[in-house]
Amino acid sequence: MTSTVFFTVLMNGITYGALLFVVASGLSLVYGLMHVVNMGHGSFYLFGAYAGYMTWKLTGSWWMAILGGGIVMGIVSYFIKKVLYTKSFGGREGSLLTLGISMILVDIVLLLSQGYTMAIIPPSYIAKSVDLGIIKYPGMRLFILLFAVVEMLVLYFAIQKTKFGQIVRAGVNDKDIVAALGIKINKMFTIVFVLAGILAGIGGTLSGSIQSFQVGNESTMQMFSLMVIIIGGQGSLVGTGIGAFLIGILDSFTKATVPNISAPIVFGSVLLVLAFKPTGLLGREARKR
Amino acid sequence: MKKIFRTENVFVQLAYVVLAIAVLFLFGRFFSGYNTYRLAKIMFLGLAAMGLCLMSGFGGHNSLAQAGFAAISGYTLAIGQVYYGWSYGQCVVLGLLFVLIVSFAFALLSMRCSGNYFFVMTIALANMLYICALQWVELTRGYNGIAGIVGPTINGVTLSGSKSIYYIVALIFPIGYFILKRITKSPYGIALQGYRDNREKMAALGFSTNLIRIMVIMLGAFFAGLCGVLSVTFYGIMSPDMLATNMGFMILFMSLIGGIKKIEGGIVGAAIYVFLEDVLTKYTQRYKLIIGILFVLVVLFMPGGVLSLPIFQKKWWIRQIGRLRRTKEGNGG
Repeated sequence: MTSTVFFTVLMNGITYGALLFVVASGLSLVYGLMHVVNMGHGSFYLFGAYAGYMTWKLTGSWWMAILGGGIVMGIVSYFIKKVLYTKSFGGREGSLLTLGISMILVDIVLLLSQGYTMAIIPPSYIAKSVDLGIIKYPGMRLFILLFAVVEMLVLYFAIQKTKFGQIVRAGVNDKDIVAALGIKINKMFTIVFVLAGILAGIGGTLSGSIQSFQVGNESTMQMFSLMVIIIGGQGSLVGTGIGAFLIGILDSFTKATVPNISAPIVFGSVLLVLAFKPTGLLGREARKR
Repeated sequence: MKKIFRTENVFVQLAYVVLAIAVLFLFGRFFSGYNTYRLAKIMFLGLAAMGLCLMSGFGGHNSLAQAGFAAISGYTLAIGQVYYGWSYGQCVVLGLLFVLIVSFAFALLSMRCSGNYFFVMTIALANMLYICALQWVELTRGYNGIAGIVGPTINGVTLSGSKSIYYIVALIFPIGYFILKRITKSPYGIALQGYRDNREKMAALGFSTNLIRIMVIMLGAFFAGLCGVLSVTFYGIMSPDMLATNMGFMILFMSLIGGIKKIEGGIVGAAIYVFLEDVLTKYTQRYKLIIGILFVLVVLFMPGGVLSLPIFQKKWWIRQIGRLRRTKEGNGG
């Protein structure tokens, strides 16, 4: 493997990891706070990508597309939270429910898009190649990396320094006590769920800008973001970041070297992590009763 | 005298099994090809769903990996028969053995995970197998799948085609149901329910909860493996579609809508699923949407599935009969 190829594969891995972080951070928050494994997160991603595509078609503005993908998905997830999760039931029922939601959303996208492959084209000042010294690299992928880094910093600040973050962190540890302290935990759930929807929608639009997408792509993203939060640990933002970049780089390198068995290696390593550290690399055991 | 006819008696149950096989064989003679096709589909999907009912309703472990386990035995059969030319029996035994080994390894790996983590682990396993089947083209032929699988050879006649394979399915299914039913009534089944409800207490009572757990995962996987073998023989082709997460989801849907707390839920759910698929695809393309909505409704309002409806409960009938009698007496007096 020459150095240019190596560097390209590495950059692919890092930018894919960045995309994974954008999508998986919301999943991680929902999992950490609500104890719901959102099996519909992939479909949120797909729905967001489709909403972004439609906004792009209608307005012609790429920035509007990102905004549209995020906002539409935020509204949809708000309604899902309000209608279906009226009680804050986490655990088994909550996770099973998301399977049905996923199916409904994916079928709606299939109905609207008629199964066509779609692609969002970013403006040329973003899409043009950037000289990184060793290789030239597409600017769109670098933009995703930039977006992920900014998002990571903002979320990190919000969770570590603000009141909202305090409540979220406390809720991850023990939501019953938080509720007993007079904080409306259900409202927190709504905020986090909508935030997750917005992030998934933006992630979908961003990913639709680097490659075409269609119905069926959602399951891959669903799986990879699940793997990310497993490796990272529930509700841990830093863990999600580490997990995203690890999985992205691992996936990129195994696809470049041993394409036949790249998936078993990625998923197998995740299974190994789960076997020896069930709460993930940085996750702590939440209090159970 | 009355005791002999109670259904707790093994011999009575065996007699019922023989009766069921006979009835199913008669169906095969008199029903048209399409009806037997549907019936066979209900039966082998029902086997996997019943395995999941045991695993989830009795053992408390939800799983999306049933289709993955089915695919392991299915691919073993397909590869052994088409690539190496082994006999059907050999391939089936090897496939089931393989399923048991994989599920055992998986049970050991997932030993420390419970609840949602276990659920996520089964998803990881199912996807690993699915993507593996897609990517490992030399072994699995990728999207195209492996075609040309035939059934066993009996007296020099090789069984193939859905009509003759129907009889094999009709033979296996009642026996599988019988075994599962016996398991739930056995001391192990009772211990399993105790394990589901309170793990710590069971451990304190001296039960090896780890062993119970490994057993239930292997049993669930075994019945999924049976489903895999039968479905591959039935369709004559093994392709990755059969093990996609979607299929694992459908098997979960079957057990949930049928009633996950009872073994019969699996077969009822499989019947509902096949019926829905049949009817809905006739009128609309949006059948996944409808199944998704049904799934949400079942989870929200009917956690016990169809079998938890009052008509399926003995108490309800007794109460209705009692009410009827009382009104009669009231009219008479």
